[in-house]
Amino acid sequence: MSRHKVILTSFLICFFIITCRLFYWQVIKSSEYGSKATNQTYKMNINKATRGQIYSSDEFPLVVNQTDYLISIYKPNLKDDLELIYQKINQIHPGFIQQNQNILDTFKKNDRQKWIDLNTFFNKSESDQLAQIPGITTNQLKSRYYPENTLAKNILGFISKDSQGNYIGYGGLESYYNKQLQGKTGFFWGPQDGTGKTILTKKSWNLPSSDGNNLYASINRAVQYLVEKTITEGVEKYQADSASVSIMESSTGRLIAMASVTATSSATPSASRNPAISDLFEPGSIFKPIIMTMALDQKSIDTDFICTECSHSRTIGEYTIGNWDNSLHPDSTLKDIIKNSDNIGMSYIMTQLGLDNFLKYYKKLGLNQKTGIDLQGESRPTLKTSWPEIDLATASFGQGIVVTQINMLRAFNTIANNGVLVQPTVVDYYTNYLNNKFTPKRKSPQQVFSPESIVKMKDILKYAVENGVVNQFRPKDLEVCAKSGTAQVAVKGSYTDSSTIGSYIGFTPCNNPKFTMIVTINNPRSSPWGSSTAAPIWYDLASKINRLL
Amino acid sequence: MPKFFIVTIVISLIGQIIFSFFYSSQILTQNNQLNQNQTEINQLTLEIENLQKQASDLSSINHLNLSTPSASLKFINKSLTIY
Repeated sequence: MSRHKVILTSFLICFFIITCRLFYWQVIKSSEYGSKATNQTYKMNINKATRGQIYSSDEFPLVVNQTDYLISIYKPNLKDDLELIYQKINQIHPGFIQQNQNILDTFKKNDRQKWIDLNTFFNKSESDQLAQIPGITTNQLKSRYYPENTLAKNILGFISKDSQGNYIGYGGLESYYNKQLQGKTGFFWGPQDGTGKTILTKKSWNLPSSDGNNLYASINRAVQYLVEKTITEGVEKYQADSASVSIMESSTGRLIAMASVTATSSATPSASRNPAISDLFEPGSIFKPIIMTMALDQKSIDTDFICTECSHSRTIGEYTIGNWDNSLHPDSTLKDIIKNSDNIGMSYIMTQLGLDNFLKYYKKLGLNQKTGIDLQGESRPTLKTSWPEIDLATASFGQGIVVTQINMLRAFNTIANNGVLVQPTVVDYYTNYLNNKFTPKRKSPQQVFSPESIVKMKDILKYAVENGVVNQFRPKDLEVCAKSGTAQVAVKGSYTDSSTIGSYIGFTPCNNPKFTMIVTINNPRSSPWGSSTAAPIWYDLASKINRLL
Repeated sequence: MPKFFIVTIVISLIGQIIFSFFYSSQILTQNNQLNQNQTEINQLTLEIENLQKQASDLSSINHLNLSTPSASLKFINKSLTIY
């Protein structure tokens, strides 16, 4: 074979081998290497949106975002002794060793453990210093920060990770407005250079993230602080299990403050639960003005009504209706009935009103449904279907029916608001990342009672306050229309004497009131009566709030 | 004639090299600038976040309460009307 033929054959063989190899790479392994090449030259970044913040009525941030840093230590990459590394971290972040003593000792002793993630939070400058130490990596962690600490925690709610690792809101505003707060995640897909930096070309695809909306709540920070402080002291003073207060602007339904406090000795309730909107209770005597307004509005009775049967207790079937202090008030007028909180008189007013009218107004006041307040976790009160005579009679003084505190406040507020029922609201408006304002949808106000009936009822309430036992708590310059109540608590189908819910509800001043407020105090041991527990709290708060609003 | 072609081809090649060099260096400069700006935005965002946190901390009732003796936080009961 000539030299030419050998060279030619060798070339052909090489050419054949190369062709086969190229065929293998470019045809058989085409998709695998194609995607590997794309991954090397293109990158995909997920731009997480910043969660919106929540502001109080004075535009003070009640919830802001903060960035913390967590660190991980990888033994094989360390250039110094582990103990020395611990000391270095401790110099940058004093107290680090003390906080993680056990976990650091275990990590040091266990040679098989190469990696550790630590739960200590570092700030940006600490993180930058730590990132310079070989073997330490830092990771960003976004979280919520509350400048006012625990203020309004029942209203705000909190965020936590869901089953897929995404942060979502739980309870309160964080949950109700989760969609508005969380914003939209963005993406970037495009070529990168050898160091991973972005190369902008026409092949880049960018969908910017849009940050979450900022919520502007109607909560008055100073009032909220006062309320929380006062009821915490109240729970202690009256040796109660818990207490709740809600305050709304009478003409609009905007919530000014809402707080619930549990005694330190009692079990701590879940952070996502707000008793003022989720706990159902029997309202007791604070329900009497509502029944009386229904009867006045329906013209079942008028202001000249005299209770001729009030000289003795009332017997219905096997049950006897008496008064809270076993006293009797013959020939009581409407003013006397409210002033003395007369159960017997109220039961006769209910008889005049009748079941159908009672249920008509009950439903008009929305007492059998959620108020629609923009907070997560509102309970829906139930309304029984069967109404024997005794149940109708006890409903006249607020026993045998259940409502939430917010439901009771809204219903009572119709008396303050000239008979107009308004929806309680927490968020006035929210703004998006372009600073455009949006107002949440509201139910339109509804006229439930005529203004004439309301004038009569306000006169009765004012008289009852100024001539009742609670007048001792009222500052002289404060005009108040209000009613106290003490409800027995039903346990396993029967009422107990050992547990009561004391409450006080009202508004000030009687004409064009600034606010309507309810105070409920659960199981006060110093005195079971709402007039001597909830009422002093109410007046203490009202006199202070009156100056703030 | 062939000389003319060779010279034209060589000049075009050199022109193309210069153009691509200039163009790619412009892309690199722009991309570097883009990355720098992005890093700066991230830093400023964190700084704003931190400043806002500090400002709200300092003007909070919580801070006022902790840094002021409780005796001076008593409610003012009297007011003065100035005409």
